[in-house]
Amino acid sequence: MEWIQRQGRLLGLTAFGSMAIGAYLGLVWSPPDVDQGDAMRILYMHVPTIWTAYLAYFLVLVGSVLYLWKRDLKWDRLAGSAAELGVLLTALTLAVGSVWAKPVWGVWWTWDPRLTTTAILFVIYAGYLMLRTLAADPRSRAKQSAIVGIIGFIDIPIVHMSVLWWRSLHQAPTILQPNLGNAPLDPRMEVALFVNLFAFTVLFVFLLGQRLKLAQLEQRRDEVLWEEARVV
Amino acid sequence: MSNWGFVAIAYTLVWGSVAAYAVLLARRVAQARDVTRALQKSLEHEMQAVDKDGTVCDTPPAP
Repeated sequence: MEWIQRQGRLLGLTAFGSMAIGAYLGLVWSPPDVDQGDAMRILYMHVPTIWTAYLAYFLVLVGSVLYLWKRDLKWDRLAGSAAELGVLLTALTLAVGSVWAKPVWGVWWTWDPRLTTTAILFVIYAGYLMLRTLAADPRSRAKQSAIVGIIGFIDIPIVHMSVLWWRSLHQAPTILQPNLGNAPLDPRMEVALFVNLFAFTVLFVFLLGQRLKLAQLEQRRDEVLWEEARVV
Repeated sequence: MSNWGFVAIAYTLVWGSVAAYAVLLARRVAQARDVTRALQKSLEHEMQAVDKDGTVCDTPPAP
C-alpha cells in the first residue's frame, strides 16, 4: 500500500498517457460495430468502469477480512478508500450503460436482471459509505463497516452471473465465456478494449493511492485532536 | 441524436467525473495535510508549555 502512495507521479502519468492512447484506439482506430454502429465505442468506457468497480469491491472485501483478523486500522483505510472509488465507478457504469442503451435498445433504462443487480450493488456500497460516517470511534466504525463490506460482496457474483441465470437483455460475457454464442470481437476492438482496461486499472491504482494518503492524514489528524484534548 | 452524440456524452461523463474527482481528492489531501501540520504544531507548543509550567493556564498572572 505504501508503494502505491509513493509512486503517485509515475502512476498518474502512466494513467494519463494510457487513457489518451485508449481514447485514440477507441474513438478513431477501432472499427464501428456491424449492428450497433459507433455506439459500440461507449463500451470502451463501460467495461473498464465496471471492471475497476469489481476490483474496488474485491479490495473492500480483502480490507474488511484483514481488519477483522488483524485489527489493524490500515486495512479499514484500504476498505473505505476502495469503497469510495467503487461507488463512483459503479455510478459511471450505470450512467454510461444508460447512454449506450438508448441508441441500441431504444430505452434509457429497463429492469433487466443485470441492470437491477448493478443498481442494488451501487445502493449497498453507498450505504456502506454512509455507515462509515455514523460511528465516531474509529474501531467500532471499522468493525461495523467490515461486516457490511463482507456481506455486500455477495452481490458481485450475482451481478456477474445474472445474465446466465435469468433471461436478460444484457449480452452474456464475450471475452470470459466466448462459447456462449456471441460473435467474436474484431481483433482491433479487442486491442482497444484491453488498452482501455489497462488504462482504467492504472488510473484506479493511482486514485486509490491518493485516497489512501487522505485516509492516513485524516486518521493522524484525529489522533492529534485526541492527544490535544487530553493535554488541555 | 446521432450515435456520435451518445458517444460524446458517455466519454465526457466518464472523463469529466474522473477528472473532477481527482482534482477534488488532491485538494482534500492538501487541506488535510495543512490541518494536520497546524494541529501537530499547536500540540507541540502546548506540550512545551505543560513541561515548563507543569500546567497550562489561560488566565493572566495577578498583578
